[in-house]
Amino acid sequence: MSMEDPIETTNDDASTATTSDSSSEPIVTVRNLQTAFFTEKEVIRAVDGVSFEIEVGETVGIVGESGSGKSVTARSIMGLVDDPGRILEGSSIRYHHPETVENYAEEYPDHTVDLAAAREEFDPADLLEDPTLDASAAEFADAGEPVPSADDIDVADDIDVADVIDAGYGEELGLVDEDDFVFVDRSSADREDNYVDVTRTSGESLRKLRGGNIAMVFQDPLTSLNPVYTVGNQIKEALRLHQGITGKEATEEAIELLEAVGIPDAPQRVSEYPHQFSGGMRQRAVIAMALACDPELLICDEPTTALDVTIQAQILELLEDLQEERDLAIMFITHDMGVIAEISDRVNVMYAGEVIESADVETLFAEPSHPYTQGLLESIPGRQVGADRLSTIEGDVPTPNEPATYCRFAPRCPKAFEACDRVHPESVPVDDGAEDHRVSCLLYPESESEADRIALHDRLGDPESDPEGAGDATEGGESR
Amino acid sequence: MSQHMSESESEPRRDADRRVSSDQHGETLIEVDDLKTYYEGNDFFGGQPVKAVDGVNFEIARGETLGLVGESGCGKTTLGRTLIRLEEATDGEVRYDGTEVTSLSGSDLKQWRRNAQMVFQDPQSSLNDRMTIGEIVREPLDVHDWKTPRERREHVRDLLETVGLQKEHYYRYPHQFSGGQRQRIGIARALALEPEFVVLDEPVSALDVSVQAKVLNLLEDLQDEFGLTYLFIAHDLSVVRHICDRVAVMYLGNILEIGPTEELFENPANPYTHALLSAIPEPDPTVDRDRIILNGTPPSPRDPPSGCPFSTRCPAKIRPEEYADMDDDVWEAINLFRVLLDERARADLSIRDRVREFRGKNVRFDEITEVRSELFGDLDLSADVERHVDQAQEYVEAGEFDRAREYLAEEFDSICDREAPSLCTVGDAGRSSACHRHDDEYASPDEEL
Repeated sequence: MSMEDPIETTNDDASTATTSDSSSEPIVTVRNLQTAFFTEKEVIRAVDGVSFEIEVGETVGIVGESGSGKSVTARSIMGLVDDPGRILEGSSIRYHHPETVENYAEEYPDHTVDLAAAREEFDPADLLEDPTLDASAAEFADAGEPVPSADDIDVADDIDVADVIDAGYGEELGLVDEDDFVFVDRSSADREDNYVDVTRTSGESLRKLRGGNIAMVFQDPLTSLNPVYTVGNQIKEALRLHQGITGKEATEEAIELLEAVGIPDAPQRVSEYPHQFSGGMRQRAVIAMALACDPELLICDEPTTALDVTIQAQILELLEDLQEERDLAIMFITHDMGVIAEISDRVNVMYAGEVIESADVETLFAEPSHPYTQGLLESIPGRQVGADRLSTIEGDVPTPNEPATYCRFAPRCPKAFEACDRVHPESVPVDDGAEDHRVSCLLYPESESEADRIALHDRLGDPESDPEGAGDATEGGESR
Repeated sequence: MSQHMSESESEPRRDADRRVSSDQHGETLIEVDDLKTYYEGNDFFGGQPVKAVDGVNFEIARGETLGLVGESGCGKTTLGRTLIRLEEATDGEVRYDGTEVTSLSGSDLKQWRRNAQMVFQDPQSSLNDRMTIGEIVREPLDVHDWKTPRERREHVRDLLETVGLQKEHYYRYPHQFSGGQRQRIGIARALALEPEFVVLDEPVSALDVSVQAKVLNLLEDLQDEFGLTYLFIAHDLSVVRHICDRVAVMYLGNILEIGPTEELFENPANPYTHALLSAIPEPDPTVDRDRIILNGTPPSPRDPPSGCPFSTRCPAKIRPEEYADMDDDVWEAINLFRVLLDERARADLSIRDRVREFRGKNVRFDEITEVRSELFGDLDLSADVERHVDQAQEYVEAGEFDRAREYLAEEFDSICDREAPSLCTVGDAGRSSACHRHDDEYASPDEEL
């Protein structure tokens, strides 16, 4: 990001020279992501309102038990959600890499929205007063903004046009067309104001992003390699599709990639078949394939779960090296708390489709705050010295098949109280001044009294705070 | 049940009429003597057998839990299966309570099998989807014609309760259960015939941590209640540390170290144990350890190294005396070079390449110069070493692979490549480890790593 910023070079307005002073350089921002599977029997909200951000060069860990929605989150970012699954309206996945956004804006001028113009034309505060639209401030509040204080939840000032579009009102208000997906604000050099919305892309535009900019490494290396093609062939396929490199040049590039991921004797190996590789080598080959097109974001879905500890250590080290070399952002999904502690900078803990706690890795392990995180950490053998029996969490992970109007962990929670069954906990800071450590639990923020906490969560979920309408916010964009 | 719990907490030993408690080990239940299990090559010409278990010796005391750890393919599952006669031993003896079991057959074998049961790794594939839970758990009883059918059903219902399920689950099918519950069914089935010895083959690897904790607690409770002896096969070392009394570390069909759990974890003796332990990711981000990253993967059990099985990857391999002060990078490069040569010599060739080889083309290693410059390019080689590498390269260029390998072997081989180490006692709690470095002649692994 230090070199030239293509957004800025095309910018005539020279007054905005604040390129890289801002400490946060997000590569992808996920906001209120909702992915649901519509089966004949029920609607399963596999991912239900997940928000997080991944910055350049950092590793964000997603941890949770099976069925918590980790993989579906990853697949949503990759645009790999298949029928009957659907990303619901109101979700947004903003991809911020400046060069890519610029390329997209050039290539798809018809699908590009000028945010600067939209901002001038429209004041989001009007939206809340518009009786024809059933919009509530809370819809826009939950995505990482500081929590409004308990007595004052006038968040209208913080609402941006982009949020309004994300929430699904863009079409109604005539701000965007259904098939727009590139959003630029040429007056701003802020990365956050220029993005491609992955949830809106499709076909060609999605394919270019997937593989070219966002790559994924899956759990089982054998199933992600095709047994009837040589490893080199499969790497070359990616090179041909995304970068148009073929022939001898591609072979050389493939050899270089295999060497980069630490495969000894790459010139020989490039013409071998997957079955001739060992498990660890296969996973390296898959990583080489993922890196073939020089992605900015690498999503690793349990990449070491099928491997031995010694091989796992090799792969983790490889990922760390590659990250440093290429300034990769990594989203790392695993259920292994040890691996998370090892590799992540920040961690999101997921439970039943929701992120229930999010903090940097040291804080999370030192002061786990959500009762679920605490229970999860306590059930790892060897963490409490001398304990004879492992502590366990009673019950099973529920299937999130109805809107969350209550805390989904409450039935298993040792600290649950009466309000947990009727108020849905929103993401709040653990305590004053701990903005980076957020938790979705009615026990927080710690400094407030119990009644205030409940009132706060209640209002965040629904500002009119009438119990009947508590489900509105989450149901907002269900039907298209 | 809960009453029992509270009782047991207040007094260390359980009620007198309980069967052997787990802290009462001592008496040997299983003795394994130079056990070998080979899978014959199914090649037309015989070929090399896969030496899955290659001469192991150990004992398991009654009521104890022995952990068996190692990387995949090291033979730990085969060893477990051989102990309970699910695989035929090629050589060696397994004595169960004094009875030699590898030669049992017919009704003797069937009778003995009641004593030894197994819980399998994958709860999804180890239960028959077309049978009800009751039928699954009852099957061993039916096979052994245990008492009357009514008593069997009663026993199965009791078992379901013992493992934390409900009597009503008798008529349900496996797909109606979660992973943790399915594993409980597998455990109930293994306990149906009231065995003394249970092989647990990765019983919790497929489960989530919170579920895993429950199953581990259950296994411990059952051991206390029925005085069971466990062989606990796992690759998750933190689980092993929690549940096992003693641990055996396996590598390529051999046991490299065996001893009491805490001691082995606190102060590993064998270089492989060192490396394995250092590879476990600690669930604590503040811990910053010196990790030993092993190169490559274990060699093929079809063609294990001639000396110490771990010699190809060992970070503490003994060097020949004249190279004792050699730069670490150079030493590593030489070893890598040799591994490469071995691999190339062994690689399967395509028919086209075989024809070319027959015509005298050096197809196995036609870019030797490049490989060499890559390996040794930026290293400072002493004149001696340079000469040896040159010589080896010449042989390779002339297509004489074996000669190059022999040449390098002669020059750089040490005791680790020539002789397999035998288990020798380390520490004072009955721990033993197989490594040449325990010999007084050489620096101990601790000093070396």
